[in-house]
Amino acid sequence: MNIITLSLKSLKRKRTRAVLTIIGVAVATAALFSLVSFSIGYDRSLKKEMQDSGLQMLVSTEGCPTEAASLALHGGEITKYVDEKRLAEVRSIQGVHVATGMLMFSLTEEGGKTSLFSGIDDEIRKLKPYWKLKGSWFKDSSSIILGAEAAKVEERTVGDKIYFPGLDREFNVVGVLQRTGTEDDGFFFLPIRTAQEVFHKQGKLTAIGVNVGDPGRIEKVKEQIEELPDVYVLTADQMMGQILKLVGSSKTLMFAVLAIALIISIVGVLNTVLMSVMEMVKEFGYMRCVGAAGIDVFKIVLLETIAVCLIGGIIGALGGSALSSIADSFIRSVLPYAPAGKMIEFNPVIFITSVFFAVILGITAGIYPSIKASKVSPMEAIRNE
Amino acid sequence: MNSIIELKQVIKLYERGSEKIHAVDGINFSIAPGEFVSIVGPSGSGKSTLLNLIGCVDKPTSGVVEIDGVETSSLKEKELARIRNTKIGFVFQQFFLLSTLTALENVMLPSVFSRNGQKTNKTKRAKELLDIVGLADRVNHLPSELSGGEMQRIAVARALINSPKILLADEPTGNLDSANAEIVYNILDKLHKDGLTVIAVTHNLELAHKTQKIFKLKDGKMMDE
Repeated sequence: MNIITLSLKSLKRKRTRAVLTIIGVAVATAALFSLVSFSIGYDRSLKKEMQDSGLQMLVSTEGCPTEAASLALHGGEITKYVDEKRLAEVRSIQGVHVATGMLMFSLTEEGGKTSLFSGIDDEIRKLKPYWKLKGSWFKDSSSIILGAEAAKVEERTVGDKIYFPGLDREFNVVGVLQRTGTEDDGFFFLPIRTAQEVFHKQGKLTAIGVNVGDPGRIEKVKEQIEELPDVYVLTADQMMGQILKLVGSSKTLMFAVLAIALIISIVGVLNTVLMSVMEMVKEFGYMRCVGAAGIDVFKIVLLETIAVCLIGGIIGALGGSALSSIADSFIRSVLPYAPAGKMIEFNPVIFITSVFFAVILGITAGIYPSIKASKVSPMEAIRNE
Repeated sequence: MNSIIELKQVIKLYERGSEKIHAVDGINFSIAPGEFVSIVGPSGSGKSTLLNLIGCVDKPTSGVVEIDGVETSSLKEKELARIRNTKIGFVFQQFFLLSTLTALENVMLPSVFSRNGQKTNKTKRAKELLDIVGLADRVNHLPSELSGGEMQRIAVARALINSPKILLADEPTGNLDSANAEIVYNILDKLHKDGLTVIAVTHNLELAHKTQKIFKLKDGKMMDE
């Protein structure tokens, strides 16, 4: 038997209280684990999404850069368009590796179902080399390619026909994309000319996606594109910056809520331990009588608190990992923009850090009660004997 | 012969409002190593206070308390804890066993706080002590599973775990029936015969008369020996 086993034995006597304290610490740790995992995962997923898109620059008409950034990644409809002539001009600029025109539209059918359309040309395949196509590329103006999720929802496969009442047009499904884990999965892709025709936007584009190959050339090419009339150029870094700025305040708010939860948790643990110390005054006094120094009693109380917080921390971090998909979807619902794919993934460093933090919480909450316990006089044991 | 306990003009004063109470009032005595001594007197006579002063649980208001040659009244709490842990074993009327610890663990408890650097096997020693007090078959029992007499015998074994030179017993038979009181007394007597200095505060005059020396206290003063 030693001080550690003595502390753990003491926990057994206050089982219900210890369990409740452990739950409190576990909830705080789970929240910490989820939020930190999310925060790191968010930035990583966003960066990956940017890289995967192959999009180094987005040329749109002048407007809200955040809208343009969101558009580039998730699709959507804005009311200003780039003249299609700009596409040829951009392509002619030296250093431009790929330039592809995109026309995006959302169509809401009767009953409220919304379908996202993207008019694309062949060049997009160079920007999205990871696309795996089942079937073939566009054969004619009535061809349509479906994203994996769109195909699943519409229950269509290669060779089927699909009719959109809102457009009063029927298309032949020539290809279905394999799941990419990005927003592309939910899209209906049309040839750019067909999209311009059905949405009555001949000669217009929502944006031009540009890739220059060597990232070192981005700035130079950007300057040249900006010389073109009525265009606004946003680089991938700027898009990321805009999005991170946009979600920054939401993240701050979430971390503020977390900080409050942690403070409540510390006060909760402190209160529990303090109550326990008050109840154990006689026992501490008796331990002092049989030779325990103040530091021994201090260690017993502090180790007991640390043990509770360590157990709570491990349970919380494990719980946070297990419930990461729920946390993921909850956090998505409160953020203005979230990258596709799983953001919260198990990361051992975050796991260990969260548990470590729970231990720090324990030490913080346990210090005052431990000092108080260490000052119990041996006379306390005898006083009311 | 050198004394193991020496008290010189020891006074312990308590203040209750404007009233000053002399719990111990100018006591002088000395106890030789290996003696079995009892302290008797009516309630409030200062017996337990005197025992607490000898046990380094409390400090005198004035006077000198020497334990095994160490003047304790000027020591700091940390040093007093060391003396309590290494030189003194305490037995209380209320036993004070920790409810979550088994008999064996309760006996071992003072050794957890031991700083004497001895690496002896405390589990083995605790089992030996439980055997000495006749409770070798109660090693893994919790206090709630034991009788009062058994608990007090465990408390005696616990007081001996760090091999103290002095055993202080505050009303060790106060909560026991006569049969158990007899068992506990016999254990104390055997320990004394093995060379331990034993001091017992008691109301039990029958037990007191079996000890080598009786100190009678009244109103904090030593009446006679």
